Amino acid sequence: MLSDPRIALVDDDAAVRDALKWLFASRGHQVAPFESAAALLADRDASRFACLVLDLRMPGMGGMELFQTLQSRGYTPPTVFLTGHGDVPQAVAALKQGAVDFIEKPFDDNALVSLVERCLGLDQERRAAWEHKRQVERRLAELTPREQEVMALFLEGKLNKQIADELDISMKTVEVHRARVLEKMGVKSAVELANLLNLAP
Amino acid sequence: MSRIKPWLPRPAALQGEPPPLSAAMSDQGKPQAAGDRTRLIVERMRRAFLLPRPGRWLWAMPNLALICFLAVGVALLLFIRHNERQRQHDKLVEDTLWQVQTLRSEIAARQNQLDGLAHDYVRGNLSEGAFYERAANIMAGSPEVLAVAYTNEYGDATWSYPAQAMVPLKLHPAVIEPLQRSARIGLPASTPPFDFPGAGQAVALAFPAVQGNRTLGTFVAVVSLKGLLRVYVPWWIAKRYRLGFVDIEGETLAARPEQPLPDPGPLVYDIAVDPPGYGLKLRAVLFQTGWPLWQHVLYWVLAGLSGLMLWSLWVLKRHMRERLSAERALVQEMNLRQALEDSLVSGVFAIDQSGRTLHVNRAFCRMAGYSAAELLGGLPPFPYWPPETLPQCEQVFAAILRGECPANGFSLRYMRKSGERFDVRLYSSPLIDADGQQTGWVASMTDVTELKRERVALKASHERFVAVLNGLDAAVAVTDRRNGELLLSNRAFHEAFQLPPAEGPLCALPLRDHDPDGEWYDPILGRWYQHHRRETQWVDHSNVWLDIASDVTERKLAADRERQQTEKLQQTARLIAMGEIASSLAHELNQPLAAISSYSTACRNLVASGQLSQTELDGALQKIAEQSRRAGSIVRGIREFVQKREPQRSACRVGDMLDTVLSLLAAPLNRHHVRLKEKRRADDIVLYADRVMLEQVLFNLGKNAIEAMAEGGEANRVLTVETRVREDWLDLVVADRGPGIAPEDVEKLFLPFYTTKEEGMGMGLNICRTIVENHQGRLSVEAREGGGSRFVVSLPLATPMPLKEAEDHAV
Repeated sequence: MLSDPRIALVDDDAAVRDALKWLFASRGHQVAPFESAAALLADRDASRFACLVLDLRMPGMGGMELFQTLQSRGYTPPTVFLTGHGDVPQAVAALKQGAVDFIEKPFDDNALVSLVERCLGLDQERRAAWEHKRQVERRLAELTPREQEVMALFLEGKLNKQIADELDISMKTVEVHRARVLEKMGVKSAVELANLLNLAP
Repeated sequence: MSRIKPWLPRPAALQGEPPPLSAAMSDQGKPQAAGDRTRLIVERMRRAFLLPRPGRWLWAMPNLALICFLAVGVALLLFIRHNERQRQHDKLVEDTLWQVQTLRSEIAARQNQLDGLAHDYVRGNLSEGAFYERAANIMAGSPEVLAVAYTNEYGDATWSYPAQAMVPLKLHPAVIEPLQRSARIGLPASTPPFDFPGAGQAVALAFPAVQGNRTLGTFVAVVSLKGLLRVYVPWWIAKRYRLGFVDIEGETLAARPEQPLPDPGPLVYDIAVDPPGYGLKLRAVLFQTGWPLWQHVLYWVLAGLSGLMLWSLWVLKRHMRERLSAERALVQEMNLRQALEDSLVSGVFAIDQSGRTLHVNRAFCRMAGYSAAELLGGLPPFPYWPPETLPQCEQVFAAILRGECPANGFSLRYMRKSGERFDVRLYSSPLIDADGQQTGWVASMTDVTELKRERVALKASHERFVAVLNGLDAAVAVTDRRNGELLLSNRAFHEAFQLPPAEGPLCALPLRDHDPDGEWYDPILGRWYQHHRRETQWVDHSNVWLDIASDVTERKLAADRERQQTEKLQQTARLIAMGEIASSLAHELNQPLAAISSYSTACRNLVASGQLSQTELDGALQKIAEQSRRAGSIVRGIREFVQKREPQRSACRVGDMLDTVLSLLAAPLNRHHVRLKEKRRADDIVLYADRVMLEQVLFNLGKNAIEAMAEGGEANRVLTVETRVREDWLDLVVADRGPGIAPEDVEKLFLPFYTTKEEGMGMGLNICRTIVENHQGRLSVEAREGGGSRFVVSLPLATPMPLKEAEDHAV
């Protein structure tokens, strides 16, 4: 049992919040209940949770909107939507935006818990990938424009001489740029760099 | 045409003449009649001899000349006469003097002869015989001597020749004394005239024979005065004068011819004859021969000429007066003609046979913008012929010269001096002079520019009117009210009612019998029209109908479509609303159900893991029960919501209710071309019911019936609405001739959400039945003989009125 709840639940209905807290507790998961989207956003950081369970239909900000807001802020944990009767199209839209799944009320409760548990696992992978991507992006951002030009050219497989001719700079300079690119990107060769960048879209 | 001569009086001035004679005459009866008469005469004279005021100065000259001429003539005559008299007088004096001189010399000669005798006697040379001889001699030589005598110193006549002469000498005292005196003083003497017998008056001349201081005797010669006149007055004097001797008293002593002489006068001249003296005078009287012939002739000629002159002057004056009045009439006529011509708006010009411009009037000048001087005498091409229509102008001109003029005249375009063009209509006719000879052509022209412009504008206006009228989609027609003759119609009208091409009066009454100012369906072409009719006055003041029928088929179809769409929309909205209600209902119910599910799953999980404590289970079950109650309350809420729709009852008359429903149904009836058949037999029944709800039921039934018939043949589209009382029930029947309802469907009919319509919710009949049942009635349906369905709403007549509602109603 973790003292810090890794699951955040947002539902406007107190009975549902309580019942689900019970349900997750019966399976050994701690749940942080929030009565509204605003309450979650007001909390210090939603990304610390490993899974989000959001009710689609709520007074004020709905689940979908909350999800989009969180996505714009940074890492968003895997999310499961709870939907009522007739909310299916909205739930499908949520899936397309990166939600893990949706589950219709009244739901098969253990199926929900299993889904959430799958999310918890998913969270570790996603979080790592997200971190890596962030790192590559950060490194790329450190490159000067000239270095980016040089990098683009040698990733195309061009030789230093060709790059020098194309950019009208000396071979030596190209070599300096190349070395700095590799250094800044934290790789040892162009092949490694290409692999790194292939991960990043 | 000549202008008015400047000096000619204007007609207005002519009217300022002195008052006419008759007016003056009428004043005669007044006290100052005498003065008036004088004035009248003067006036008449003035009028007779003087021309009226205007010609007076002109006539003063000949009048004055005539007067002067007459005056001078008379003066000349008087002068000549005076001159003649003077001359005659002078001549008279001269002749008389000459005559007296002659007489004196003769007398002197006699005295000399006596002196000779006396001398001889004194000398003694004279004997008696010699005396006689010598006396006879003397008498022979001087016939006037009547006698010669000698008296002695005593005065006795001694010798006398002739002898008898002595007696008168002796007797006559007038003779004695001078003889004696002569003898006494010894000087010659003469006697006063005395009457000598047989010879009239005579004088005696005495000459004394003096010897020394002694008078020896006296020689006497008696001279006849008559004889003197006869002998010594020459013929040329006698012819002119009457001569005679008068004594001192003026008595005529002798005269030639022997008549008493007149008293002294202008043509009488007296000269004393001395000797003999004694106041004896020779008197010469000019014969009153009168004027000489030439003078008479001259006078008469003069008088005649003067008369002639006066007469001719009078004739001339009369002629002039006539001329003047004729001239005045002419001037008036001229003025009238000038005014007529000047006031003409038609331009007139005259040309001679060669085409030379003879005359243009003011209107023509005004039109052409040229002065008359610029146009007169001009030959074609005229300056007002514009270059672009020159050939046309020449053609017309040639036609005029040929004497051709169409009945409508020539239509031409002329040019003003300013270059502005103007259209004229030109008519020509021959110009005939006073002798009846044609001397040219007169053409009158009218400026039709404005007319043409107006005509063009009118035509354009008419074309616009026709274009607008024909461009209208609405059919417009004007028909005579009495006989229905079509007076005016537009294209749309002809097309709409497929009228044959009209060749004569046409009677078209497609709109005649329809309700004016309403919609009308034309079954022939299947079109809808909005029809407006106005009674108005036609151009000939007859009463006509003005019908305007706008084809509203499209609009109506569009409106129908729109209405259908609206209804569809409303239905969709209702669907959505119901969906939302259902959705929110589901959501509402889902919450407690989801909670219950979660609690129970949690319990089961705990049971499975063996961790479930008694307390936990109790709490969970409690929560489950709570959520169940919550779900129950939601369901109850829905039921309560439905239960709130209780009928609001009031007393309502069946007839009023039906009227409302049928008025609501009018539109669908119309739209689907369904005829309505009413069999109302219970209009006066009063129900105690929710009028709006029942109306809704009937409306729904009616609408369903109409829609059921919409697909079938039009002939069968009859909606029957019937009311009847059957025992304690009131039946409201709505029957159609639609496809009917299959017997197996009748049961499903009233189920909720059962519908045969695409857009239907399937709630209508269900709700209707609920409403009817709320009114303790029944809604039933049955098939009709001959096709169609019959819906019957049966309501109990004796509806018990709840006490409370009755009180409410009473309040």
